[in-house]
Amino acid sequence: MRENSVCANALDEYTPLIGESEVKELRLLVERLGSVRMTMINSTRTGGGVAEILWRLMPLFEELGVQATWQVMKGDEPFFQVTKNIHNALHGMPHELTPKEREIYLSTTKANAPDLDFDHDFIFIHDPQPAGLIKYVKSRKATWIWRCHIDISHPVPGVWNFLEPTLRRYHSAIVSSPAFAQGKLGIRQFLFYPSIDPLSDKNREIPQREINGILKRLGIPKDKPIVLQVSRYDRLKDPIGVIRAFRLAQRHVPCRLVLAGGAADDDPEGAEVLAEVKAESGDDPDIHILVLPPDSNLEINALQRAATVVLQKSLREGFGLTVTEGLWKKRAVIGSAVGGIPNQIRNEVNGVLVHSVAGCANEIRRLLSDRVLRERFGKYGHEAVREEFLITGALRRYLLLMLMLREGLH
Amino acid sequence: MGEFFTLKTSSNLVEITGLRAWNMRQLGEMIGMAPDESIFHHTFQSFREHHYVTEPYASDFAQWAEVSLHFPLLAEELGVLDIRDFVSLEALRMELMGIVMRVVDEHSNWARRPADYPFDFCRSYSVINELGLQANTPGELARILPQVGIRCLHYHLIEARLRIGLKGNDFSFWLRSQWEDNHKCLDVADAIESMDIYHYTLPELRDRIINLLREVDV
Repeated sequence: MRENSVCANALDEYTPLIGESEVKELRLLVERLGSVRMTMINSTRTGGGVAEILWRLMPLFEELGVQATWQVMKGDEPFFQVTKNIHNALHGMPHELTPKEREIYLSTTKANAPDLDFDHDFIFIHDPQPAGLIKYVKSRKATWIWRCHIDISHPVPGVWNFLEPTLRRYHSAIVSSPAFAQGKLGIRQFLFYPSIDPLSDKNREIPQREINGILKRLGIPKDKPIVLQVSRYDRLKDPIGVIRAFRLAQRHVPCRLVLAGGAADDDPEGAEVLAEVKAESGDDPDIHILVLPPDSNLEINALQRAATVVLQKSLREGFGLTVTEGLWKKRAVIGSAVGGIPNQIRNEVNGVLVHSVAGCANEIRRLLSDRVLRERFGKYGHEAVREEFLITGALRRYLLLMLMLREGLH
Repeated sequence: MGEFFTLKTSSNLVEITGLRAWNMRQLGEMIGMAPDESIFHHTFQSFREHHYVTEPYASDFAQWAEVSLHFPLLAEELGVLDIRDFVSLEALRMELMGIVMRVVDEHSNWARRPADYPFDFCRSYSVINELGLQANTPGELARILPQVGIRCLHYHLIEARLRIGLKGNDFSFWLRSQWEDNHKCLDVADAIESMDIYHYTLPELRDRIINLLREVDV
């Protein structure tokens, strides 16, 4: 049974998007890999980007003939509070793990070990929550790989010192960007870019009629070109900077700004930032501040397809999948040169990298005025995503990694 | 009957080496110490990843010099390098390092100036697979090529020169070795070899190769 309206697509459905040769290559890799048993282990089956991608990835493995399972470790609220603190500390947010927190983490992972099946050739552990399982499994038959979806380049030392000895037990790690790698990890680190599913509600083609309907429902007129930033209301996404850049550009080119982010009810800082954003925008009728429910995938899809320019003017960023989504939809994308954005935007080839409010404003003006340039960026952006950032590319990388580990890396 | 042309494809896995340059001098030093697979990744692989567009700087090194170091002089010097001039990664490495260190010497005030974001050296591992497609004549090859992906084309046209250690490619090598007395074949082999890979995308190059192969009657 599929949850959260997530439905898997057959490999053949991707063929028109990626080409027959790509699908054939996947089949060749599986043929060469032979019989392997692999499992993915994470901490939730619903919510979050990891679960979202696994729901769609696992059936593709199955269809290709790989014996692949997905297991979910169990944890209670205190455990997930501890892992949230670990997650934030790995991102660099100050936090010292108390003895109690350490005990909760270790005892929960230990309690999970007997309930999970480790009789596999390859075990992929996603993120820090289940990372400790490796300590409690005696059999070393499997090759253990830690798939880290977060930036661990600047962790808080205390939390890192707690996790590092466990992580060193893994054969290797997978990170999402060279910038997110950890120099002190002491095991090999492979690069798997995050990916989007081109057939999901957030990214699939939708008819213009549907886009128009969604815009109307959201109260956004189509009389002027739309400049869009999709991101939660967080200071690191610099929504105030976006408004200031928009205002500078607006003096020269008529346009509308749409800021679309998630609800901030359970996030006091988010609510504060949202209030600041509303204050900054004043009563400008050309600025639309949207607070969307978490499952607004079609709405985001429609907004991105309706936008003339897509922004991601973050001060700090993870990989920045909103950039990937904009590029896939052939939009002209302006991104800050932070986090994973330079991995996606080749400056002046498929988009532009900026460093300031003024730079962002200049580029909004330039792109709104130059349709040919927008179309060129859009075309090459789409190709860049097709080449590197689709779910089928993630599938290929998993197969390649298992194949190369099985055959022995140089 | 001569040898079949067997079409293959190359899939790549990328590993992060941990070498990270924050300025021009470090870039030069690390080019000197990076593994061969890393030099391959940032020049040959980069060329494939961006196959869909002709851009001013095909190598990652030149692109970084332009966008992150904001030092166009170095970008231009690195960007003008033609990977077809090299039949070994060591020779390519020496040339790259030589350029960077010369620019460092000539512009010492820029040498340690920090970049916007670092250059992370990665390395590529290639897995080669046969596609199960073979051609016996240039005409057959012309009919098959539209079915193959970009990685196959890159393998035979670009990566080939590292494998066969010649300033050539698999297509030209095959034509010359199979039809050494056929002037038209030799001309087509030369024409494929002289195609400007920097001014056409890989799909465009494929179309040109197909058109050239169609001209041959054997």
